[in-house]
Amino acid sequence: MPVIEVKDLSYTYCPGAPYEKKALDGVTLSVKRGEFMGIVGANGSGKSTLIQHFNGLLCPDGGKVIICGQDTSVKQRRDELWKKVGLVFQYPEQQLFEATVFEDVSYGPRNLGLGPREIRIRTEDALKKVGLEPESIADLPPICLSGGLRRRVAIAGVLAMQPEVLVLDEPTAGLDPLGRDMILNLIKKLQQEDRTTIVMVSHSLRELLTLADRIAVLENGKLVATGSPKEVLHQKDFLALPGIIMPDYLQLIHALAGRGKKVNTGISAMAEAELEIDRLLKEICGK
Amino acid sequence: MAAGSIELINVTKEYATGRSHKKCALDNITLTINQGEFVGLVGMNGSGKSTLARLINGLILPTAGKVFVNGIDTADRKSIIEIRRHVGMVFQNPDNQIVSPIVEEDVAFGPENLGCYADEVKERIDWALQATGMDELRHHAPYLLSGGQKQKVAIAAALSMRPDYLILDEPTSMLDPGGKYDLIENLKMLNEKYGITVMLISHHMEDVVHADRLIVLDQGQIYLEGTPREVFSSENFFSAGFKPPGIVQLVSNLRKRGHMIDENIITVQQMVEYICRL
Amino acid sequence: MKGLKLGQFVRGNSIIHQLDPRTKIIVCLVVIFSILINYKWYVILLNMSLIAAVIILSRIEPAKILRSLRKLRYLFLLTFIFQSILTSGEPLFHVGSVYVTREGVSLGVSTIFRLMILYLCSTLLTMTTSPLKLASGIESLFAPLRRLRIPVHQFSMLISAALRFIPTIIEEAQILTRAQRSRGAQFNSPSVIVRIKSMAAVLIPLLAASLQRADDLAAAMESRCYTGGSNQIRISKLRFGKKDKLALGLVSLVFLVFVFCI
Repeated sequence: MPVIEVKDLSYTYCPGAPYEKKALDGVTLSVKRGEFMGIVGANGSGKSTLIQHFNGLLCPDGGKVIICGQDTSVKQRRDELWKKVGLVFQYPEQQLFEATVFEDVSYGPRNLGLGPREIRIRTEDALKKVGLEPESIADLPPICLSGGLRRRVAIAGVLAMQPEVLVLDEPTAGLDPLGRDMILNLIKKLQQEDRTTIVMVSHSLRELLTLADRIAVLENGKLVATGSPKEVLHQKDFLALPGIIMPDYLQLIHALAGRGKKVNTGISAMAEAELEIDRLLKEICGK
Repeated sequence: MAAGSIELINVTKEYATGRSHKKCALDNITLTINQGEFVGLVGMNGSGKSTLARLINGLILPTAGKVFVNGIDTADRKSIIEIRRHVGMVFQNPDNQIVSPIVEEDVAFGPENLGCYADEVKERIDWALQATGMDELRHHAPYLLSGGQKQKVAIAAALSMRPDYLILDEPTSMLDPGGKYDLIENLKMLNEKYGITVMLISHHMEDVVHADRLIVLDQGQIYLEGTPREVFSSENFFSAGFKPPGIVQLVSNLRKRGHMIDENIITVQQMVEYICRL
Repeated sequence: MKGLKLGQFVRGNSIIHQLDPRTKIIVCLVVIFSILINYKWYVILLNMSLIAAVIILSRIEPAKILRSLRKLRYLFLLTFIFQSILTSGEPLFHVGSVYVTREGVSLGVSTIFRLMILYLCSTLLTMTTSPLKLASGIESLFAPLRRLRIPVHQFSMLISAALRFIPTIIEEAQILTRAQRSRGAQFNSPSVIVRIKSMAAVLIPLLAASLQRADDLAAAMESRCYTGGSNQIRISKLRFGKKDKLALGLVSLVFLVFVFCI
């Protein structure tokens, strides 16, 4: 049974007003337990609107969103969803508000009504999961930390609630290359070692191609492609989608194919591109 | 101290972080940026990039050493307006640098502060908006624009002072790939067509591939300097945690496989042309 | 969020848009003054017809403006109820010991109209005047206060920047509210303490972010040669022309006659 099931979902901002905007239009999607689902799309394609349906912040205008077998159109259920689906917003470090790292990370567990012992265990566990030492960092004020560290603390704040599904909106936005790699490795580890179901939104097709089991592509509120990285690359011509840019090695393969060279465009990884070009060069030189 | 350049001479900048602690953001940097250049500046967080940017237009002053803009010392407070009109700045967060609730009025802010007359202000706004391709959105409210469009407004706002230099402090880090691409293309055009000197600070190697010169900062010091190709192929670049663009990695791997590919290839376009010429 | 957008400047080229901001501010003040000191029916009628005329001349969709009145409906209702039961006079009917009086009903209705006038005239002012013009208008009108060492220019800059940042901060507050709700903050909990704590989880980061914004904005303004602006020349130089003299003269005359003579 899928953890997240979205059936023909539509959502409109400010219905009736002159600036009404259809943010989602007939989206159907499902995420299996333990899966890593990537969602890619340009700004304004409806990515953020879609994931806010997953933990009950938004109620569908049309269609259904079923989380762990339960329909979210019932208000009481929506209000309980945050316990099951952890949502990490864009630039999550901006939400830190408590005086110490420990207090901030334990905010979620405290709201769950857990006992002090359980809160401590979960908080320390979550900090370890994001690669931080509870002993050295727990009592520091979050404001003293660097941007990358604060983001990890914010992610720990969501992990401490031990959600069944972890949804992340652009988790690497604005970080430097070291910070970016750190966060991506951490997310991958959560899926592989803890079997957490992951939904990650990104504009970077490159990040998702290497991490995700499946990718969904949104364009103007519509789902235009979904499947494994290779299937998605095959289904959708990303060169024609202005908001999403293909990794440069794929741009190269596609440009070569466009110039009449015989290359296999059905690849997704850098190593495959290398093999393709290697083969092509040998072919040319062999003649 | 030649006119027509930015010169940093033995610049050190320290910040006080507590009673007796000092953090050295820049450590004895000497650097010249010539007019007409497109310089890329990369470095991890905390490497001193922003400090360097803010030193150039006199927002902050060096603890030791001198910064000259067109021969004027930034420590000379009487000339600070003269320096700032020559050095346009664009910052990271697109939301936090637009002053006015209307695009056009925001672009007018600089010339107004310089005391330009109405006709001249209008001429400058028209030019700046046209040069950034924001002409059609001149009457819009900034908060309705996309991140990329907001950054272009910020560029237009700097251009309206008719600067020689444009210093951009991670302008692309909060943009989506489409917005990022447009912004870089716009900067290339401003550099080529109008001869504006650009110093672009970024984490993304794709942003600075086209630069004339690349400077890598690490812990307040110039770690590497050279053309993008020289920097990307340096072992030290890799060991500092940076990854060159995919194409550079691809070329290097193919060379290891025994293909004699031109080492100077750093963009997709160059690689396509190269293979098609074979 | 919608409500605040409604008071926002709507670009146009109508005669109302073209008027000097000072004219519009003064007329607004005259209108407000007149309904504060006098709540007779003909003053209300006069004000309503003036507002109607301005709406027509400004070529802003009337429905757009009138719809915004809807969000004040509870205020209107409450005002009406309080006025009608708290004013003494000739009783119309009573529920238990609460008497509704004729004077009360009349006062209630006129108060609703006066509130509407207050709201509409300030909305029309901001809808037909660009924020920067509004700021320079205020600055120019308050310029004499400079002699009293009141920083008039800084004040008008403050208004302009506030207008610019209100939508941004509202959006940020919405995002923070959702983010904290995702961590279990309860904004509609029956317990007041829980509600206050949840609010703090939004307000503290919102304040921190606003301080950061202020810091960034200051750097951006300084980089664009802002020095506190006493020698600044404005692009939207104010011109008090024939139209303005005419408009101001006419409005003042009519009001003087109505408010004091009749």
